[in-house]
Amino acid sequence: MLSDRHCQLLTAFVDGRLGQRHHEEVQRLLEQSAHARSLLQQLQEDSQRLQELPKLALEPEFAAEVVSRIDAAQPHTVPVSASRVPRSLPGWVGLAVAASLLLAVTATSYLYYSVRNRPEPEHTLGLADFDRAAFQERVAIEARKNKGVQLDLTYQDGPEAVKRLRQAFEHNGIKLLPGPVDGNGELLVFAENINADELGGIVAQLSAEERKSHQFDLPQIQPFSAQEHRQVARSLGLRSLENEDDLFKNILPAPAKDKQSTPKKPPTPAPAVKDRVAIVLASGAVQGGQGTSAAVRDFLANRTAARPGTFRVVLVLRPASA
Amino acid sequence: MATVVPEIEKDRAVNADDQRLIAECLMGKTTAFGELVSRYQNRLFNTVFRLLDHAEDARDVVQESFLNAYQALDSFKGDSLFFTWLYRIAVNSAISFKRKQRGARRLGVADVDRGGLEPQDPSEISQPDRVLQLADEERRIQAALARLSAEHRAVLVMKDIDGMKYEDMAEVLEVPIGTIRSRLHRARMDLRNIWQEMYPEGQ
Repeated sequence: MLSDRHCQLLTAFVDGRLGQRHHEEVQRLLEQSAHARSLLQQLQEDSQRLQELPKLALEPEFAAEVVSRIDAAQPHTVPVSASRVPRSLPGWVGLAVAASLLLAVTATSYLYYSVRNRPEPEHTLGLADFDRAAFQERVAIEARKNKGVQLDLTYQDGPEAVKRLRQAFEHNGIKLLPGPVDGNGELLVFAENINADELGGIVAQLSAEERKSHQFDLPQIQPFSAQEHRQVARSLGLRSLENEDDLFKNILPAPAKDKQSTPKKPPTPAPAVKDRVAIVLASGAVQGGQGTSAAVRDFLANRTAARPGTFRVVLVLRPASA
Repeated sequence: MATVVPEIEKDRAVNADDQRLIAECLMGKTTAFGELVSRYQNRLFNTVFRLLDHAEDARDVVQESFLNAYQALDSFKGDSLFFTWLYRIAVNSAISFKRKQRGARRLGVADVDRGGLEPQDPSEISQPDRVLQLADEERRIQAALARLSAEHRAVLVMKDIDGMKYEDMAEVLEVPIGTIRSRLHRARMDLRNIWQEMYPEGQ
């Protein structure tokens, strides 16, 4: 039986990465051990198999297709830095008011996964590469198409990721409500009534922290998928996020004509200015009673109707070690 | 030494030409980016395909990688080869894609899908028996690779299929060279165990 050190020497030998001293050590090992010779031969054969895999080619039209996609998205995708780009968000974005922002975070026990046991960090395109202007433009385009945006990120360390998220949202006037965290899965951050400016500000804040130490990869903008939609709704104890009009009946002032038809009832008081809040929930806890937690009640109580120029956002944060 | 110098000169020449095309892209000339895509699309596609097992998925990931690269082009500082920067985006996108895919779709041997794409080398398809042999061998290798973790699979693809040096791999993955070495070691040993388990006859 070969020691782990000898196995390491043999794999490095396959890669041709041994210095003279270790090379000689391997030579001696090979002379003395039939097992070492056999393993080395097998490792070299494995490597050879991979090297001999056929090379495949894309069709020649592929490049033209990429260029046409870029051209179709122009001028939003012109690759110039934020400092050189005038703010060119669509007009409707500018109409966005200071809407209340509700935020749900669906998390897992991975958030508390021991740093001690954490595997090597995963290395992806850094959030430090974030370009706010380009990001906001792409978000605005996606939000117009789908009324919602999904941002995919991976993170290195759960507690640190949550800490940075909390700081980023607080920096933009949003409070993060803690909720129960258990089970396994990814971290979902849900927001609604948010506009491209605000989302850009949140990601910019994360990006600023990113330059100090690596935590997140660059967010990939995708449609707010039905799967995430359902998952967020379930985590909030709702059948669907789309039934918000029913939910809002209880927290919005009644229309004037209703007041006239029921004159004996006291008028519905004007709603107080809602706090901008966020909440942490356990992922996938469909029947887990989350809907009755104080944090969820607080979150739902602060939910308001959609404002013009705003959209839903779900940040899907996956642990880098997954 | 005689073979090393020309490679370095070749890299420098390619890099200089890449820089010219990048400058044109930054002035809004998208056809220049098309040249960069043509130059690197197959190298990226091969790598991503070996990471994902699926031609259509690989094509999508490569296309998105190019689009992301175009949008971030002004952040490319030129302190590494453009291809290395591009490769980093594509590999990390593929690893990220693989993670998202995990659980949603478990690829088996029969799922390895080239999507009708043919090898770049036409000589490989000129003999029917050889075609079958190669296809079977490829299927077996992909099936074994599919059982590795995304990280281990990535380093093996980068080293053995793309022929990258430790230094370049470390730059792409942004980890120390020692980490590349240890990951490769674990990847090779894992692949060996998987191969023996799947094909105990030793073939």
